[in-house]
Amino acid sequence: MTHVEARELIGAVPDDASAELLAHLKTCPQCQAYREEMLAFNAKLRRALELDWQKIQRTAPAGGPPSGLLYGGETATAAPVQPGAPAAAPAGPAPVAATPVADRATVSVLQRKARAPVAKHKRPRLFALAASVAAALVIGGTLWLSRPSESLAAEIVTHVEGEPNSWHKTQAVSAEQLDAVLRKSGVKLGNGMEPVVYASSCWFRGHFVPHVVVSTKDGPVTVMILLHERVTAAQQFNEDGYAGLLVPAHTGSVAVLSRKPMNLEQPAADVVHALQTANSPAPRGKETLPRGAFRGVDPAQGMASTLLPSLL
Amino acid sequence: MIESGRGEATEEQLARLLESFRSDLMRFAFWLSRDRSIAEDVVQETMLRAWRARNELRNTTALRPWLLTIVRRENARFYERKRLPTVDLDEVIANQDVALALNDADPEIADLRRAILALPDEYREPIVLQVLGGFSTGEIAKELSLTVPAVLTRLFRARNKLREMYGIGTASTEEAP
Repeated sequence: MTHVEARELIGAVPDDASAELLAHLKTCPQCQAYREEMLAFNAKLRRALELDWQKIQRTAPAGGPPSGLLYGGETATAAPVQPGAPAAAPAGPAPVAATPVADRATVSVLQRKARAPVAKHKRPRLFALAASVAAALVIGGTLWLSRPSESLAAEIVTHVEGEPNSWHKTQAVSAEQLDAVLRKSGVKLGNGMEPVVYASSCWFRGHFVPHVVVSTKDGPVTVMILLHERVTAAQQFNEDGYAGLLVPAHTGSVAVLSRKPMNLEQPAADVVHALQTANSPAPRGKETLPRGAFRGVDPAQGMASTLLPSLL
Repeated sequence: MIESGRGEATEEQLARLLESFRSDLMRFAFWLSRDRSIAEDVVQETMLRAWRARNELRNTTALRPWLLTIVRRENARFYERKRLPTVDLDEVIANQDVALALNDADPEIADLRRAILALPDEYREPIVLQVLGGFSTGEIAKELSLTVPAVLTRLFRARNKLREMYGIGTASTEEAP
């Protein structure tokens, strides 16, 4: 591979890990430096593309899309669509006729409405409106604050359910493969984890996150490193047959899951430790979990306790 | 019904899964359309189509790329149907909703977002598919009906243009010493 070919490939796919490119990089510090530069730029690019859509929606005018539209009684009797089996034919559905009026009615009308003029000399109405808005904000805020961990656990389980084959891996993945997965999410891991037998960079809540499976003496454990999800204390959950534990980490949080009740604290502690040692300049020693990490977890009770209601 | 870890998923599970992708789809639609209202319409239609086709879904692994594909097609269909005129980029950025979307505490990120908006469609689409959608070059080629080398060229040029607009300078493909 020539320098030109290497740089064109890096410029197109900065995290390309083909053997040919890696072999070239070993002998070419200039191209290696260029790759580092492009990886850094790509991280910025990803951050730029990941708009905080929730923030925009919260300030959006009336007429935006309703949440939970799919719970609104939409029936399956509409025109058939051919999505193809997604795995085999990821091409989307074939074009279909315009959406029936009935369907439209069950979803929403997304046109912006002109702002109605506010009538003068009607202060009571204004006060009532202001009070309603304030009450809505308080209620909405309360719901919003109480939402994350519960839905986070459910979303983690839903995601893991989508990759059932990950549980059956037994061969340790290569260091290069693991590095590529971690690098895509900007995650660094130190030593101390059990062997990683599955590693995938998965899209989760607007970010690529490392989804790995480690082989422990008690069986496989799924680990998701969630740099963008914060939890204030450790939370156990039993969801759809999975036992899980969410713990705060150096940055964000770590989720560990197993398919049977088992002690998940040690695997979680190993990951948190590996994150701390790789991201902290402090000298290595006996690392501890963040304060309050396992608050509320009863070791004697283990994973039998159900802190979250079953959502499925 | 879709295949999950253990057997078939219920409609409620699928509905929740689809809803969990909404923000991703909105971002994707926004970068394609550069308009918040159009993005909302496109995502709404995408959700509806996906829901109608729920009985034909086989597993959830490829659900996200499938949804993104629908978004892309719906966006193209929307422009085709509406025959929207070409808009000036300054007008796009001046739009209050768009300006709000581009804001960031880090001014570099805000600048980069404006640079992305200014990219021609032929470069913006593959780069969004790759970086935001997580598509491989092969998948992008299939989506855009291009060859893989053509996709690589567009991705390379897109990054070069962004770096140029962003003030870093273009990537050199000169032979290294």
